[in-house]
Amino acid sequence: MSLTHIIVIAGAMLAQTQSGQPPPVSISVVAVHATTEGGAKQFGPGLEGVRSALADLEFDRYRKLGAATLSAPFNKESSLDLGSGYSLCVTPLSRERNGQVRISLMVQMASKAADGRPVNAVSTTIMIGSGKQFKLRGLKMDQGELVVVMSLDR
Amino acid sequence: MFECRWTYDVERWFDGEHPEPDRVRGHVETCTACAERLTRMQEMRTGLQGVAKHQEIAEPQLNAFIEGIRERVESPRRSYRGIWALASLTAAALIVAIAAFTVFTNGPGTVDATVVESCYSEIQGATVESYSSKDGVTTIWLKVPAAQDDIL
Repeated sequence: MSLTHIIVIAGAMLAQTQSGQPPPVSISVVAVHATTEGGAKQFGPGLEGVRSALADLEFDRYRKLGAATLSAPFNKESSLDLGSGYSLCVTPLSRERNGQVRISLMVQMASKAADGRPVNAVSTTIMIGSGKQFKLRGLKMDQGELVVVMSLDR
Repeated sequence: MFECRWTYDVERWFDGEHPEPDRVRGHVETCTACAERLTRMQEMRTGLQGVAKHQEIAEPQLNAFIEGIRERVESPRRSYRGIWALASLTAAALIVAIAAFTVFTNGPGTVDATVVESCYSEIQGATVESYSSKDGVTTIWLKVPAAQDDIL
């Protein structure tokens, strides 16, 4: 076997290893506008799947702003516009032996400052298992809050 | 060894068959060879008596002995084969199950709760807290001081 053959085989093995990257992570995202208007809790259409995740919040009106499913490759940032100047950046970092995925999440907001640089309102790294829900809250929006409910799809 | 001509007479006397025992006894008392011969015969007889002595088994002992043999022969043989076979099968099944679980599963499964490894905010004075509800939903809560509301 010549040196050329060895190099070709090694290259093929390397290419196969690189193509063996884990598949992208599928993350469901639901953006909700939560407000307090008085009265019993009311959930708008399309929020059936996230009602339990919103149950502990003090607001009484919940309106769905949008929903999307992100297919996020590992070690690559995927972003989603949440409206009202907010955007969500998701970067899956690794898949653990127990099936959980380590994900870097960042909510950026358009800055009112002169330089116009977006501000990282929230940056977090979490380890989450498939089917588990997770939410971000506290982002101000029109007399209420923007609540982002996420879950790692199975 | 010197043999006295009275040897035959001594042997007969020893067996109680000599017609003149006093005469032979008188000779043995004066003849060293015959005295030695007599001693050897006495020793031999004593030894033979020891060998010939046999123990007798009394009737009750014999019956108990026979009964014991009969019990051991006729009682059903205690078998441990079934128990040991079952134990071996159970152990083998356990080993196979553990091996299969180890080979075909990748860790303990996806039962772990969500873990927040880090969280922070670039907003001045803001804090970020996390908590988990009883439903297992983890929440990251951005808390912005009122003075910073205008930037949001």
